[in-house]
Amino acid sequence: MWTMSDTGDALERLPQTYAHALRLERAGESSDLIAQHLGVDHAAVAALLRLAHEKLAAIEEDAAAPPPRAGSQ
Amino acid sequence: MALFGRSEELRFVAAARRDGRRGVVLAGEAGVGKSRLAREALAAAEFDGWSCEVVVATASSAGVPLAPFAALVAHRGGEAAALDFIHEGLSTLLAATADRRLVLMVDDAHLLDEASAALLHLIISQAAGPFVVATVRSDEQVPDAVARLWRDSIAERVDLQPLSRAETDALVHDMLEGDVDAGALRHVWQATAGNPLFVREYVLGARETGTLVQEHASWRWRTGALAATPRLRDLVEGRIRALDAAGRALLEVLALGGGLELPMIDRLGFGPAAEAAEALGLVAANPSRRRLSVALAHPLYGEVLARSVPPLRARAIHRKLVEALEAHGPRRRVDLVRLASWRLQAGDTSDRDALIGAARHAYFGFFEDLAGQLLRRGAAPHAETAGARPVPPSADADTEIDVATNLARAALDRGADATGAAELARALIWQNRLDEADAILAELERSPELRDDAEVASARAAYWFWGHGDFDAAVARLTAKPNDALDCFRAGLTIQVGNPRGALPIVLPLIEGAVRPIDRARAAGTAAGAQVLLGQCGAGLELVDQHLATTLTLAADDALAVTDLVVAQFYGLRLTGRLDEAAQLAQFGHDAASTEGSTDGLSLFAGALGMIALDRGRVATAAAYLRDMVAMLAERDGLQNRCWGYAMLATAYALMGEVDAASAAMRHSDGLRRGTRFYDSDIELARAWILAASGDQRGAIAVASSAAARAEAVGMLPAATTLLHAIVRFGGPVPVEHLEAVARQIDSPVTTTLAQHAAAVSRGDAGTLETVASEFESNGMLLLAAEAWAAAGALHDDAGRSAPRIAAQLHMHRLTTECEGASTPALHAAPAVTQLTPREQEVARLAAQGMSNVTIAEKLVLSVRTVESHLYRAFVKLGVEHRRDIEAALDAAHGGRLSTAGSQMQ
Repeated sequence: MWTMSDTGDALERLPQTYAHALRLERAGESSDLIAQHLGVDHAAVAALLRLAHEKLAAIEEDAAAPPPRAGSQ
Repeated sequence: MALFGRSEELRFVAAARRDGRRGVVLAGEAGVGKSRLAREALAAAEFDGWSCEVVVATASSAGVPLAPFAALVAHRGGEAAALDFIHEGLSTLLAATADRRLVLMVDDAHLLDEASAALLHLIISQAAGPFVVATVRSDEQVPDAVARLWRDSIAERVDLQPLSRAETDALVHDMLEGDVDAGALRHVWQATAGNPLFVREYVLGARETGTLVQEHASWRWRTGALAATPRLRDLVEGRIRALDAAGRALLEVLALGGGLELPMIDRLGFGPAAEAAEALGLVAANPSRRRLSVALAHPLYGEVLARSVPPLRARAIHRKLVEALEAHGPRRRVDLVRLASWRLQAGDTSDRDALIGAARHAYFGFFEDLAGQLLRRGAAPHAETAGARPVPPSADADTEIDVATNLARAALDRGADATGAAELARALIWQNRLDEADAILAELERSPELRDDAEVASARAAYWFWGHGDFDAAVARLTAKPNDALDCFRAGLTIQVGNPRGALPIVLPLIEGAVRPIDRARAAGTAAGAQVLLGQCGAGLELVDQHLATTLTLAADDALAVTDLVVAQFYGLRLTGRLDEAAQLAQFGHDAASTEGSTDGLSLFAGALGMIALDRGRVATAAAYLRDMVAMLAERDGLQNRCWGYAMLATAYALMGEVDAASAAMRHSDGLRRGTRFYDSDIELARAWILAASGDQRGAIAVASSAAARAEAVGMLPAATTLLHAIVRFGGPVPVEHLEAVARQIDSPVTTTLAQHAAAVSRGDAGTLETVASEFESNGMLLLAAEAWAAAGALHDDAGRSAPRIAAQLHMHRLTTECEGASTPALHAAPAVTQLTPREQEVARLAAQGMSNVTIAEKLVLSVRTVESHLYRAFVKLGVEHRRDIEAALDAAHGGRLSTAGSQMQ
């Protein structure tokens, strides 16, 4: 696809744990190992990954929208 | 107050409820917003017609079996008789949930007594039980019956995470209901790490104590005051309650001493305590400079704890830190600053020289370290960066100059000499504490032998120039009894007032002729800077090459000599189109500053990175760096760089077409005092860009023309070229011959290309414009390349050459998408997009239906590459960026029907 949408940038905008979880998932790591890396309960990994994917999609959606007016000045 | 950053979690809970799951357990650290989310989930359920009940477990109820549920049973009109409690509680609840439409919230379920936990497990396990939303602290022991809810897959466990930076910023904006300075946002983020409760309490505390103040309709962070509310202190205290005495002592040491390397931790006897505290999530070990260092896990712990340590114990802790570091042996120069600071806190100020040395290092330490790192890399900043993970300065970290001031004043109090006093005066001038600096200098000048001391003269000249913008008074002081060092300083100030030509005769003879090596280095750095600004880029860069390696070894004597050379090199690389190398240098400095936690270094190199991003046309990136820069300079702007930062920020906004934001930034720039005239060209260029963005082409051209004339008059030819070339970009009549004449005097291929661009626009030469566009692109100047393609496309359009027109449009579109929302007059001049070819329409229609490129390729018997190509053109012509927008765009473009155009692109 030609779009410049860059998931790497979007990942950076996620809370750290979600970004880390997605990177581990993409690296093909097991949920045991993801739980271990993130220091969360094994049973929490599925929900964490699902939320991470949804949050990433939301960020990408925002990024695709027209840029917000720069406003902090 | 709105709930921030929890939409996905809220949807998750609602989906679990509607899908017939039995419950969700929300886990997380204190303050992360578990209870708030649970209550929002209840409100959503109520909206859906469910009934809701809330059970709250508390520490005080933990000792009373079933107490949390007693309130619920009583509320339902039942008897809370102990013997029948479980049965009654259960049947009451189940009776109410016959239709399974009850949501039961159990807040702080980790505090449930065993009986209540068992009851909860029983309730939720019933076929007709309610949907349970429970909250638990992730760092607390949880009753087994509660833990089994997720371990046995009865309920889903959701670990709530802190907010992201963007969500935290949004929360702060919401709380303060107005504009918030980027520095304040950065401060809150660094202190709270996105914990919503911490954010709220921190911001409230900061408002109450006047740390957060509203100035010119914008909230700004002032350093110094304590921003911790009693609730925040309770929160931190509650968090560390589980620690034993050794653990608490460790935390106090880390709060007062900052992060400590592992050998220091061991030497202080805190090895086992550190392990225990790490297991509780209270401290974290981070690799720093290839060594493991231990720091508090949350920045706020340090802020709260440091203020809770009684003064005498604080002295004792500082003494222990001094002993441990002395025994360990200071390894880095920054260790000397730590040592001196801790000694001061421990009440030991006997070693005046050490204090002065540490003050100097605190002052220039980052630049010395930068010199060391450059030296290790053979003076070439390659892409490789320091192995250490960059760490931002901690939220309450004193800036380098605060530390320098404290150390130098302590030395002076102990009878330090003129050097120490001058050092303190400089630090005070840097902080704009001019009266204090004046008093110290006046005291020194009363003594006839000290009056002519070079350090005193130099500090007094700094006072006049940086403090009062009085160049003549500064020069008078520097020339009263000149020496090589004072001459170098005078030359540097001459550049600052926008006269690099006048600086060269002062320093050129000193490059060979100065007595001390450090003065020869200063002379070389100053001369290189002047040459680059005058357009003698090759000569300037050569001087840098000749002197950088030697100067790096002298950094301990005068780190500013290194800075002068590095800045000259940066400008030289930029002006000769070596943007990648300039960017590497700036990034190297930025990383080093980040690793060192140096605000001075960070602001300097954020500005440099912003400038490079503007050169490239990456306007949003530029704005982000420049916002950071001006925020970091909010408290202290010794070199008066902030007005420049705001002007560059205004340019970035103007290039995005954001006229209001650009004008606001420009007002900030204009409101800041300026003794230095060195930046005038950049500031006037910003003004011109704002006029251009607001549609006042004539005004923009007038401002750029007169600024160009002034720059040319003082010999700053690269600046004059940029300003004259901007007139082309504004769409104005191009002073081609003049521009070419100026550009010829500059030894840079980039200025030649700028002149060619202007000439091609003037002649209406599409072919040259295309060549120039490729040249810009190969130099990484993407916005200029896009603008050149836009002009070429317009010429092709006028001449009716559709194929090259569309090719130019495609190039322009491709480049513009990399320019992060840039919107300039030259881009607007591009021809309007035309109709789609039949094939493009067909592919676009299928894509709009949701088909993948592969499916479309199979369906139309085309290669995937061809489909991508058709789709790309369709996107460009329709002006959309996503498939979901195609349908609407097709409707808009073709009135809902697909028209058929020629197929010249087939």
